[in-house]
Amino acid sequence: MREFVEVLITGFTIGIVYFLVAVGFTLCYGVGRVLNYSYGSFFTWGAYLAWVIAVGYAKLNYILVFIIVLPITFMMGLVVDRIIIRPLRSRPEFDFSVLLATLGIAVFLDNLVLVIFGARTKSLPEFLKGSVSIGGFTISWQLLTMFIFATVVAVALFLFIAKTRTGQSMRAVAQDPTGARIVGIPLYRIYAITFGISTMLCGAGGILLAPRFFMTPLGGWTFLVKALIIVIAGGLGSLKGTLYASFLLGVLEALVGWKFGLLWVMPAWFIVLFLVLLIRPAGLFGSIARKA
Amino acid sequence: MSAAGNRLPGDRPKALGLNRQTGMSIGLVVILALLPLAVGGSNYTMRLLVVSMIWGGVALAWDLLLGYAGVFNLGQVGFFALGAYASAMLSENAGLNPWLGLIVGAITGGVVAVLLGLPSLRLAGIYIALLTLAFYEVLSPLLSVGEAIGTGGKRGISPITPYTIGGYTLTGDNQIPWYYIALGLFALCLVVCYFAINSRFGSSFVALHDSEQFAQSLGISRYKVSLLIVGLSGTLTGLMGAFYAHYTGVVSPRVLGLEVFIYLVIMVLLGGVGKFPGPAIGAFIIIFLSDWLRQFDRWRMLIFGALVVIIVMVAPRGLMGALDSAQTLYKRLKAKRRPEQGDEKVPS
Repeated sequence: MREFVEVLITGFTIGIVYFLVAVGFTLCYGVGRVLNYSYGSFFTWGAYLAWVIAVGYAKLNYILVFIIVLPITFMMGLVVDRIIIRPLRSRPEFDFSVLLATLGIAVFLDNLVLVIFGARTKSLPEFLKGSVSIGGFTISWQLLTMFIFATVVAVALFLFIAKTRTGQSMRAVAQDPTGARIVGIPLYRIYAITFGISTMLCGAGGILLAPRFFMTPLGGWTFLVKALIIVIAGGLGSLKGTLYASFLLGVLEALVGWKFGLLWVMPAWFIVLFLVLLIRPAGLFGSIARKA
Repeated sequence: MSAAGNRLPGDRPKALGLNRQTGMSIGLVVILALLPLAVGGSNYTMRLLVVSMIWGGVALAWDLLLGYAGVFNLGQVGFFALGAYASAMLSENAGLNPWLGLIVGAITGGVVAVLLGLPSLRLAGIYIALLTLAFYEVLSPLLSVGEAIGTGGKRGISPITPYTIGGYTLTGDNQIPWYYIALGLFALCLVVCYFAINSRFGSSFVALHDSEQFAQSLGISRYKVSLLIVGLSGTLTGLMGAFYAHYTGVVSPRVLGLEVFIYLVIMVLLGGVGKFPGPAIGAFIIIFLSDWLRQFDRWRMLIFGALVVIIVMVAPRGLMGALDSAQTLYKRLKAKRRPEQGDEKVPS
């Protein structure tokens, strides 16, 4: 029983990190109409940059890792948006071009990791060693810091979207790009910022989850697919759905990993996705999945 | 003479008759049929050609969806792998004749494609890409844990019984029979795709791609037509998969790796999306290019990734698209010159 509750806690913590990753993916589509298939590569880059700073070349502490890596992944997003996504926006078949271009970017970025760091798996040490017991349950500091970091980032994101002018512009663009343009919102700047924020969130996910999984140059694909499954299961474009689906699938991952082994996690996710879509074809909270 | 330049948007070439599509397809098959005379001595080159034909067929089938029907299916390699697995599992675990495995592979590919299409084709265009990518990515872990039903787990199935022709068992040392079987299958893909595109059925999905509302007003059901074309594409892909399994003698979850997927993407892109038979030509170029790039080792995939981005940005319609522009340019130049010649004649 105690073990079960601890597994649940782990699941919730992974869930909130998955939420960060998945919400970046939806945001990027909701605002910028970009389905970013290179998303997983930013996860990989976040993790590897953290490794460079915390283990490989400098041995800095984790707070500094966040302060340095997040702006870098943000800038990477801006650059990709500026030189590749933006010129494609005038194309009639924008969706299709972006799909292929981001696939290419993914392969490029992943293999850049491979060329620079080699194929050997790397691992990040835990943020903090040891554990703490709360009400009879033992929770590792690692998990607790992960939970706190992820919550802080998620809350910051919500405040940013709700309160700041840029965040409001992002919502305006998501609702109606033409209308937003008429009232003087610089569309391309908002697209770029959104893209940067989404890649930054993915990078944050990479840093947070890297100590749990081994890092490989192609590891990011798993997380792209996880983000996809969460986003589809939750209902495309629904923040609430993304949140519930993240927790549901995070807990499922912890339970399946605990009972059957990690190899079964992805099949279990897919079965859940399949069941969800059978009952609700538009996802748990989705309404716009048909015809857009 | 090819009439691609003067055609009205709604016209389609006569299904039988010499145009660029038929000309290139026939040319391709004839060249391939004669090529062993030139390179028959080199097993290595023959092997590359066989692999090119296998992927050429898959690229054509995929392009039916991407370029013609506008279905963004990213799970094509999944159909290929399942076709390969179906044939390999039945011949190794149940002793099925490998030749029948071709049919089993084709049916498996088609059925799986339709099953995947049933839920995903109800979604809007770009969401299909999400769902099919999820299918493709989950397939590899599924096959890895599926030892109980004979998928061989992570290592896959190997060796796989090769084909026998009248008591003679095909081996890797003699590529000629393999080559001509592959050529037959490749030609089959060309013919099926050609008629799919240039039939009434084909015009209906081209129409859906061009103007969905108008097509629907003429009584074309997007869902039914897409489902049919997905099934057809899956069948051809499964067929090639089944042949691939017996040709290489190995099938493992590695075929679902990113590398294979991205190769297929570049083949279609380079040849020209929606430009039959461009994707098949792209397949030959990419297989030989990849073999040449082997010397760059780790940089190879990096180069391919950059290549995808560059083609999308610079030449979104690939080589066949470039051929189109060259042709219109040539016509425009010719049209310009003609009145001048006329002018000269009048005074004399």
